[in-house]
Amino acid sequence: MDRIYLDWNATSPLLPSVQDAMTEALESVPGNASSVHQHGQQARSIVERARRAVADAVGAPGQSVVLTGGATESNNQVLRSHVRRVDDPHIVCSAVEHPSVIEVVEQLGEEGVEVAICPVDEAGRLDREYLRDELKAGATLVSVMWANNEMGNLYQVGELADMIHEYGALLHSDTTQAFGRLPIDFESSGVDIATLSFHKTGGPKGIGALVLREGCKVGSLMAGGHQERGRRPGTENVPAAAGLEAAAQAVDEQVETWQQEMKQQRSTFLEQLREAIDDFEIRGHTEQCLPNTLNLAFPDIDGEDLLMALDLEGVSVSSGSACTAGSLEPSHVILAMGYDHDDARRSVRFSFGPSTSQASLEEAADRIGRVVRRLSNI
Amino acid sequence: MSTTEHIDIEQKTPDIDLPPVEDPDDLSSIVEDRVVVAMSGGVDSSVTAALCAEQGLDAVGLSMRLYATPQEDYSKSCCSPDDLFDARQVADESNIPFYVANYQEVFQERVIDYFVDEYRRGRTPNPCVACNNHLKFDILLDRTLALGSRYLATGHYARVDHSGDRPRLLRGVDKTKDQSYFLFGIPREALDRILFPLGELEKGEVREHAERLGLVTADKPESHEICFVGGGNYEEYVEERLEEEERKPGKIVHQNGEELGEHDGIHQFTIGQRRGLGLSYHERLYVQSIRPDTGTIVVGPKQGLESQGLVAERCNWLAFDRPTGPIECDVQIRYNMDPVPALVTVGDDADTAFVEFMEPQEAITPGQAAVFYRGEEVLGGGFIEESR
Repeated sequence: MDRIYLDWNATSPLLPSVQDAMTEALESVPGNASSVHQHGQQARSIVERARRAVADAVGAPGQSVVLTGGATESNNQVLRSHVRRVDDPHIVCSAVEHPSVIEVVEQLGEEGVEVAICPVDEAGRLDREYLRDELKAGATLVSVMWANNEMGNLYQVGELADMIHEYGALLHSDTTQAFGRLPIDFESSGVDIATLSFHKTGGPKGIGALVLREGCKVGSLMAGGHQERGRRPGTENVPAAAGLEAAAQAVDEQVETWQQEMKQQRSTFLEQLREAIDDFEIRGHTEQCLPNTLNLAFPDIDGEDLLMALDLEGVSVSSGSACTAGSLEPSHVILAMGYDHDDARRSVRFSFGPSTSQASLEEAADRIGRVVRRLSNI
Repeated sequence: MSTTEHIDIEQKTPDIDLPPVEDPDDLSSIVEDRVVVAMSGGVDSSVTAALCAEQGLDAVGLSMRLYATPQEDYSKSCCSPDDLFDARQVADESNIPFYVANYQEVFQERVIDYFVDEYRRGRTPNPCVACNNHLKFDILLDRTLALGSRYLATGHYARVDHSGDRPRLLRGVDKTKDQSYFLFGIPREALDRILFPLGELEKGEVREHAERLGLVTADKPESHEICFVGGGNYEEYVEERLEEEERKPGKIVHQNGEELGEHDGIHQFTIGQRRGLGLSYHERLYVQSIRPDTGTIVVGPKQGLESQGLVAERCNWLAFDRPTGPIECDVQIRYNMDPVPALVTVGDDADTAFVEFMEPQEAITPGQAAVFYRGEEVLGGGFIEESR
C-alpha cells in the first residue's frame, strides 16, 4: 500500500533541486561562513546567494532579509525585540495566529506588556472594529498572519496596512503557509516585517527568515555572535542555506503555476470526496483561502479517530495542531471561530502540494470514503 | 549437565489465536488480523504488544491519556508523561504504529469523580474495575472498530477460553498475579473480541520475554498504586477534592454504644480497618460500619465484622444471560483473598444478587467488587451494596 502524504501544512518533502543543493553543500563546503579564508568565503557565498534568492522570491531588497533558525524563532524575535525597542509597547495579534505568535503575546502579557488578542467571526475574519479600537488606544505592533495554517484562510493583510499605519503602528505578518502557495509581493503588501518559512513547499527545515521594510529594525533574541549583522548570532546553517536558495528560486519561478495546479487539485479532490461521502462540512473561507488546504468535518466523527484510522489506511493527515502526544485542547483556531468543544474536535485538515498527484488524491478520496463509512457505522 | 531453572521461552510463548467474530454491523474495511493493543507503558502491556507483533499480527499500539500529571499542569502543551514515552518506544522497537488517545474527560467523570464520591458516601471504591468497565472494555473497545480491528489485546493476567460453545473468562495461570477479579464487568458479547496473551504466562516469564525482546520497559518496577493518585496518599487526594462541608467529621462509637473518640472525615475509614483509628482500648478494634448520614464510625472486636451474606448491585453476568436459579459457586469479595463457597440468587432483576456464604465472612466492604467464580471461571460479579 502506497502511503499518501496530505499534511503539507505540517511540512513537505524536499524538492529534488533542494536536496541536490544541500547534498552538494554537505559534501563540499566545509567552511564557516564567518571565516576570512577561502573556505569561509565559499560558505559565505552560499549564504548570501540564499538571501538574495529569498528577497527575489518575495519582491524585497536583498539587504532586508535576515536569516533565522525558522519561523517560530522569527516570530519570537519580532515580538520580543519590539518590546525591548519601543517605549510603550502595545501588541495586538489575531486569535487565530500560530502558537509561536499567540503564546508569545500571552507570555508578554503575563510579563506586564499591554497586549490584546483580536477576535474573529465564524468564517475566521478579523474583527476590524476591535482592531481599530486597539490602535486608537495606542497599539504599536499588529501581528496578523498572511494565511492560516489550519483553515487556509487568507487575511488580506494589505487591506489592514493603511489603517495600522494611520495610527503609526507596525504590521507584522507570518507568511509561513503562504510562501510558495501564492505570490507574495512584499514591497506592495504594506507589511513592515514578514516571517518566512520554506519547508512547507519543498525547502529545508531549520532555516527561516525575516524580511524588514527599510527603517524597520529588529534586535537579536540571543547574544554571542555578530552573524546576520548581530541580529541572529550563531554559525550560519550553510547546507540549509544552499537548499534555501534552490527552494526560493523554484518558488520565484513556479509559484503561479503551482497555485493554479493546486487550485485545480483542490476542486477535483472535493468532487471526489463528494462522490465518496454523502455529507461533510467545509470549514473556513471557501474563496479567500489557500489553494492547498481543506479543513473538513464529518458528521459525528471525532477528528482523532479519523486521523488514526486514516493513518492505518496509509493516508497522513492532521487534526488541529501537529501535536504528537495528543493535544489536550482542541485547536484554538477552531474554538476562536466559535465552534464548541465537540464540534472543534471533528476538524481534520487535508493539505497537499504541487507534487501531489491527481491519482494519489483520487486514491485518498477513496480511502477516506471507506474509513468515514466505517466510522459512521460504529 | 546440570538441570537449571531456566525457562524455555520458546515453549512458553503463547499462541495468540484470533477467535472468529460475527461483525455487529456492516463494517467496511475491517482488517482480518489487526489487533489493537492497549499500552500503558508498563512491562505487561509492552510484552503483550511485542508478542502480538512478533507473531505477525497487524498490531496497533494505543495509549490512553487519562489524567494530567502535576508537571503538566503549568502548561496545556502536550508534553508527554514518561509512561507514554515508554509505550511509544516499545511500539517503535516492535515496529508497530502507535497512537495516544485522549480520554481525560471520561476518566475524570467515570473514574476519579466516582472514586471521590464513593468515599464521600462512606464506601470503598475500586477504581481499576471502573476503568476497565467504562474505559478499556467500553470506549477503547469501540475505538478498535474505528481502527479497523475487531480485537483488543491487553496485558491483564487472565484468560479467555474459546474451546467451548461460548467464550469463558478464566483466571490467569499465574495465581499471584491473576487479575480476573477486576474484569467481571466486561460485556459478555465482547469476550470474543478480547485477547489476554499473558494469561498463560507467569510474571517471571513475562519479564524474560521483555528481556529477550529487548524492551525498554523490561526492568520497570511494578506499580501497585492507584495510577492517578501517583505516589501520594489517597486520603489526601480525596480530602483535596471534598468541599469543607462534605468532610463529615463525627464520633467514633463502640458497637456497645460507648463513645471512644472523634474523627475529622469518614473518607479516612474502610470496613475492617484496624490501624490509624487513634484509639486506646483494652481490645483490638476494627471498623465495623460507616454511617455517612451522621458521620459516625462504629468500631468493635473482630467477631463483630462477620456477616453471613451480602447484596451486590450493578451485576454483570459472563457465563449466562442471567442465572435461572440459585448458583452454588465461590465468591471473592476482595482482590487479595481466596474465594469462599456461597449460594448466589438473583431477584426479578439480574442486576441485583444476594449472596449467602457457607461460613460467615469478615469485613464485607460496600463499594468493593463481589466476583463469582466456578473453579477457574468467572461467572459474573457486582458491586457490594451492603452486608446482611
